[in-house]
Amino acid sequence: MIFQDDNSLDMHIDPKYIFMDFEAENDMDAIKKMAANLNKEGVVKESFISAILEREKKFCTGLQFDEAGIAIPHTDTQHVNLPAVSIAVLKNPLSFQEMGTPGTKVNVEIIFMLAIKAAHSQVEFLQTLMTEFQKNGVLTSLIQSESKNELLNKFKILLRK
Amino acid sequence: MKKILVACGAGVCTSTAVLSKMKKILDDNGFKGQYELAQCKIAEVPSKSSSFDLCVATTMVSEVKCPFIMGIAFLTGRGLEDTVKKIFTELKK
Repeated sequence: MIFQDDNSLDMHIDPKYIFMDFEAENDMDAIKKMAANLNKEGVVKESFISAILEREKKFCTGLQFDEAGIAIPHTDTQHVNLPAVSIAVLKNPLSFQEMGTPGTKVNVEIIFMLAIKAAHSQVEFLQTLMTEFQKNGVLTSLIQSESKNELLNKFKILLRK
Repeated sequence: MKKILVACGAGVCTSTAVLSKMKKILDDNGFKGQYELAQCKIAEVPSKSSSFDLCVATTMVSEVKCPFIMGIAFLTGRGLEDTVKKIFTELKK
């Protein structure tokens, strides 16, 4: 499934990249599992897995929004075959380091892993998400989705705004 | 003309999101034409920042050679008013 709208937010998303009730040992384990899945689906190169883990250690991606904590792990474009986003709704929140504030933890309920291939149009995608996530009810509604398809549809609507 | 350097890990992802949001706020508040923006990797900040009036980044930087303001609020909206106020103060100096 590809979203290509007027803003060229051309990020691929597919039920295969979505996880509900996602369980992991910790932040790094969650990132590893999601990255390995994207590699299995051919979206990213094998090198993406170690690159995104290294990147998270150096530049952590936990973000505290009013409604929920999220994480947006991502890494350099050369590890990506296809621009895509993978989403995991966590069964139990996981503690991530907050972006920009070493030593501060964020209780993350949903992870958006970004596989960015070409810098610009896909960064617009990030900008759109950040704007939408600040709106009342948006993150809560995504997190409370009962199925992959429900989440996918809600996400699709956000991107078309 | 004030020069603002916007930085993140690779100088691509979150810094672009911060840059576009900040640009809109600055322009909406009458700063249009009074500033220039540049973007870089966090690793380049120590060497580049000396020729800038302000650095806004999404991660901490150890050796910034100009005033520094954390820019996470442009992503999450939390504490945005404070962040914006600090930036205005720097631009008016």
